[in-house]
Amino acid sequence: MNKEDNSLLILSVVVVLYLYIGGASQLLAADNEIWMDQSGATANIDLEQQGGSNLIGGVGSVPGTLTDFDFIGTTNTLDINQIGASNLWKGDITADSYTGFFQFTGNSNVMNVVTDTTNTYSADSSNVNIAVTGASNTLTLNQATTAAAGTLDLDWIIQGSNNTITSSININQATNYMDIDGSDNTVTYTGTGVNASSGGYMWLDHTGGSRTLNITQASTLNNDWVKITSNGSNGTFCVDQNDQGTSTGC
Amino acid sequence: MALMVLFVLTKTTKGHLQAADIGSISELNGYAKVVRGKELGAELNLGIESLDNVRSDNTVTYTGTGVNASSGGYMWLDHTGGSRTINITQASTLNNDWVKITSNGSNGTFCVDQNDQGTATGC
Repeated sequence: MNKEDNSLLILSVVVVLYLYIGGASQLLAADNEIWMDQSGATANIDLEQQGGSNLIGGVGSVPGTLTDFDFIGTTNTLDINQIGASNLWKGDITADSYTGFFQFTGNSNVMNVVTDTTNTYSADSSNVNIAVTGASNTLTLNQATTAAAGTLDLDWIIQGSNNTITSSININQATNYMDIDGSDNTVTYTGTGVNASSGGYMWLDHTGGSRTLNITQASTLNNDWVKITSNGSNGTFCVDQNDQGTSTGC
Repeated sequence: MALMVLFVLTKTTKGHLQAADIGSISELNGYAKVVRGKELGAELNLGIESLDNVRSDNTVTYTGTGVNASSGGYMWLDHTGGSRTINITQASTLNNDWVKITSNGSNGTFCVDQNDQGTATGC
């Protein structure tokens, strides 16, 4: 076998390996998608996806150009369960008094959910539970940015590192509890509204280093209340209770 | 899946504190029932009383298996009616499963499970 034959043989092996690996990775790319538009009261909705790169569609969703995840009505229950990596849920919830269980197990998942931005039903009395086990997840929940989230009971249980949590709540009498274990996590929370009032609070229970915690409480006419327990080294905290005045910031 | 449409004619009632005759079923497509202490099958001209619970109560159980859901394959459910039970499992192993659900109604349960034939927690 001469030098030219050897080169051709090596090239052939490389091409075969490329096709094999490329083909295998395509076969593993099981991108499932759910498009849902539900309106009505007192329904129990349970959506579960297993595997990677799945999508539950909603606001601005992409891969297969999905749109609507709409969840409209009162006293409904929504259970989202995504198990795997790089899953995406984008939801538009227009609901009062709903119960939510949003669970993610895996890395690099994205949740981007808004609740009743148009104040159609207001967004009172909901009970929302978010549980994440994994790293590098990006979670955004904006609850009742126009309406008030009166007596909302929001709980986050986060286990993992490098997660990014962003939440904005019109917090009248709402509670926001975060239990976060892991390093390099980032929390950006903004509580707005008129009355944080009695019974409303933000409580962050955190363990892990190199955290970035930004908390702004800006209800205008009543008491904002925050409790932070954090155990870890490095990182920054910024807590700003400004009554919607002009603050200097951190 | 049957699409159920139920129309109930009503008439004006005055001052009744107990269940009163308020009309009758004028059009019926698909299955429905009327709960009045016990369950009554809905049928044309059946009288409806003020405290009746009229239900559509459809149940859908769909399981899609296989290897390739692939391009162009999907499940699309367009539903109207309350008290439904909808169970959808999509389990093709190597490609995209896709489901679209439009549902208008109260009560009932949905379970959508896209599991790639892995171990799902279930609903």
